[in-house]
Amino acid sequence: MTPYSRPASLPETLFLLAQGQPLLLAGGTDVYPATQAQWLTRPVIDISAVPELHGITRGPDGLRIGAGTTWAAIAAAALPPACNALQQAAQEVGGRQIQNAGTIGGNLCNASPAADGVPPLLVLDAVIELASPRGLRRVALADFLTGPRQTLRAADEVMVAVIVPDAALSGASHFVKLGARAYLVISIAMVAVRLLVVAGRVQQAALAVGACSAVARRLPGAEQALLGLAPQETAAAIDAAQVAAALAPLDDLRATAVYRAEAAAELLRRALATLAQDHAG
Amino acid sequence: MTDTLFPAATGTMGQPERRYEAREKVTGSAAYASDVKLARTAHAYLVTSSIGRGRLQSFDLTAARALPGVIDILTHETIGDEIRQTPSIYGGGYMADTLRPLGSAEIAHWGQPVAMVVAETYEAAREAANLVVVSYAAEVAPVAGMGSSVATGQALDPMGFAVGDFDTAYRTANVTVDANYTTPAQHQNPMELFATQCVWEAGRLTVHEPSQYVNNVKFGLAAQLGLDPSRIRVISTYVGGAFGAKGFLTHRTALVAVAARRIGRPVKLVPTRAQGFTVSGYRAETRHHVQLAATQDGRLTALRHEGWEVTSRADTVAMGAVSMTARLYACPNITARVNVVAADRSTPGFMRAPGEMPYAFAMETALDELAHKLQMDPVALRRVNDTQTEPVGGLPYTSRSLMLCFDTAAAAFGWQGRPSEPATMRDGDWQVGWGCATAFYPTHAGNSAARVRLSADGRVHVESAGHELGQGMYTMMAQVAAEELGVPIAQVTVALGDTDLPPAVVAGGSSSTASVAPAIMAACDAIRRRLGIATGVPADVMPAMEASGLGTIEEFTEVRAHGTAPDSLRGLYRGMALPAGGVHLPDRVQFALGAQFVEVRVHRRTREIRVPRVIGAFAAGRIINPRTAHGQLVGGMIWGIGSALHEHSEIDTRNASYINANLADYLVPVNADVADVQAIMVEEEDRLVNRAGVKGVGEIGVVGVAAAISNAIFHATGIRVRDLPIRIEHLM
Repeated sequence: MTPYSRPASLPETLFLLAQGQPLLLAGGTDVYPATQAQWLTRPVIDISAVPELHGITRGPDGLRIGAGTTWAAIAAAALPPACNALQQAAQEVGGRQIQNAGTIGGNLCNASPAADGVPPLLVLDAVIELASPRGLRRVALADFLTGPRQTLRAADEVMVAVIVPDAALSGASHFVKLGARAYLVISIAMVAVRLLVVAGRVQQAALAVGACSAVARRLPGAEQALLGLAPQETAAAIDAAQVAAALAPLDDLRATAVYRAEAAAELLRRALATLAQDHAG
Repeated sequence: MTDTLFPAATGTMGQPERRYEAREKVTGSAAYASDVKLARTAHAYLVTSSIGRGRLQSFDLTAARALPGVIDILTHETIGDEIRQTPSIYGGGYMADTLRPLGSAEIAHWGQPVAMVVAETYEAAREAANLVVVSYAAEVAPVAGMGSSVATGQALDPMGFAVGDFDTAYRTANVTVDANYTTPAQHQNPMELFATQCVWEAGRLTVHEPSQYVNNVKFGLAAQLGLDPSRIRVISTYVGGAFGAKGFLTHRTALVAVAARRIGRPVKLVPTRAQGFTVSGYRAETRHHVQLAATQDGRLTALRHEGWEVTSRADTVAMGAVSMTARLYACPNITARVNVVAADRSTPGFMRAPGEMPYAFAMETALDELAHKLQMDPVALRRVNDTQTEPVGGLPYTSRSLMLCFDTAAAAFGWQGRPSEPATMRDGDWQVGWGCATAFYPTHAGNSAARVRLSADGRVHVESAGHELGQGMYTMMAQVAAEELGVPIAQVTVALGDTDLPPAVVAGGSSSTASVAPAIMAACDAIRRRLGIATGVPADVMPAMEASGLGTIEEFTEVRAHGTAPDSLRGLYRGMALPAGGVHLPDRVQFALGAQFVEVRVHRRTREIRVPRVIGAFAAGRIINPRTAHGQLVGGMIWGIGSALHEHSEIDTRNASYINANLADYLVPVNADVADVQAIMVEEEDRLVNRAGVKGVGEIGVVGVAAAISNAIFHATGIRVRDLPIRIEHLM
């Protein structure tokens, strides 16, 4: 039988983590399908009852989302318009049952190139807080994800929270996903965009694309090109070649690289056009 | 209460009666096979082959046997000769395929059961199954499917036919089409898994299993186990979707029965979703070559349809629906041929509209190609070639309302004014296209029996071993008895799905209602005769029942379906009541027909395909319950969207395994893919097909949708896609 423990506090979690190479279990929505036909090879620490990992709070350093917060809770939270993309993504991670169980921390630590949570958090300049016996540390999400299924999380670390700095909570954002069917599907490509519009002109722009490279990416070049434009002009300013160059899409079962680059550009245009509509309205 | 879906319905039959077992289903009290609680149940788990072709060398069962809770492990080495070799349904027997369960060390396909662990709990059985170490020998690269070549195909001569002189007519024609089409392997994936529970009591075996034919399971199991059939009872009160996958006896049932006998306890097996991909049959991949020739005004002068279908090495299974595609339109010169390509795969079976779906995709797409070449409206092309006589044998259709369906659906769709040139309709960044296709399904019926009991208190009880697959059988059979005896439907109870009841046809070939309703009508007639009431006219039997002084009248009747052999009624009592009709009658052909109209949108840049509208009109004889028929038709049309755009069992050629054997990766349309789907039921009276006048609507809804979508995509983009499923990359 696989050892299983369900700690009730963060210190207890860290103590157990230091005992070996356990498997951290949060919502179980990635662990379960990956292991259901076999037995678990490592001790399991179920962190779903650790109170320090739960809740969404606004503090001096910005918006703090506990790593154990479910997608359903994120979708239902009262968040500023800058988090629209995150809340839209929260409603497209699997189906409702997955959203009720799956957590934001699990999505990030699982580090799938097609993780729906990543692009919305990249446009929010999200920072990851990790705890270990050595204390707390913070890492930018863009640095935290190092490759497919690879992160900077050390074996004895647990992700505590995702922090969105105040500066990134301005403006409004939008998320668009493309798959082989309209819902309940792994992304071929997905994008998140956030614009801060002041006096009818784009003052800040953040664009991120997922499932089109080993790790989801921000597109600084394309962002730069949007500054100073009216929101209605932004969609047309997306240059497909520039987007393709900024990504390194893969050929796989779901789509070809060439298609992904093209689709990413189109999704960016759609997301920007939707945001522009909101400004027009 | 007015019904929003069917405000105009009148009459007892023809009423959108609410589902007989609705309360049980929505409250969870309906017990499906795996819900039945049996005391001291042991749990079984299958170990299946991970190679595609070869031989079992040895098992190491040490770790599995040592696991606490493990009771027994069945392998071909431990099971002995408990299960006899019996023929498949294609060889006059009962089995879905000819492989003997755990019959030898030979591995014929990936996913073949090689062992079954029995334990105190499901979890222990599963863990032990994963501890079974299987060693293989003589592993060779399997033939995974059709591959790129059909040269290895074997012609099935009895399925081929020809009339006139195709070659000359084709060679000398004004306008021709010559194209190849393919459809992929697909799996039914019913929500309810392939559960089986077996319990022995005093030498009698009871089987709880979702089945489309309980008597097939009973008599097949009797042959496999060498038992007197009277000692076996099979119960299938509710079935959570079947779609052909639960039609005939599979390997698992005998294994569970043997395990239960060995350990003297009930045994329950629920194969996983992934194992379900090889536990039962599926729709095999097909390839088609269609050649059409026509005059300038669109009259067909030559038609050739050749199909190739994948089958297993053990069984030659082909759906061969050229027998239908060649009979739909008037044409003097026809050649049709069917071939099979044997692969190292499990034996294919029947999946909703088994041959009709893929063969219609080929023929109805080819007709659209012809219409485009002729610069002719696709509806007009069907009209020019409409016929009341099938062109191969010159036999009459019992009734044929195809053009009425086309006109009804076209009007509802707003087809008029459609530009004939492709890639001319736009809505912003979306290219818009409209397409249509014929839907058809042969009208079948099989021998069936029923018992009807009328009590002095006005209650009516109907019994038949027909099957409730979710299609509404309980409800419809209650309606039939209520109308025939003139009693309110609330006073009618119905029992189905049990071999202790009067036997009925397999619930396949869209034949259930057409077969069982006439048997119930005949039993009601017998009751009316006992009471001295004329038959064939509406009447309330209760005054005569009161006057008779009788407590109960019970009548058992058996009805032989048109086209079955005179001695075939005996087969009804041996689990061999199979559907007859369609194109296999000496005097006529019988079809339900319909027309499918589709709008698609293809995005200019991403090439996403959306299907905002599907409208079908169907003429299928009498509709006993428009609510359940509507569910069947709309459900079928949604399957059609899936067959066009999503469904595809992907095969790893290295070991001929299924890559996407789960519902996350085996894509079917979700609600967000299904916008506006309308099924219109066109009135049609056909007194020839069967006494109930029913043609059946279980399968026709899926037929033609894929072609209509492919035709609409051509109309939207100018790109002709001849391979299913149609994906984004086809439209780049």
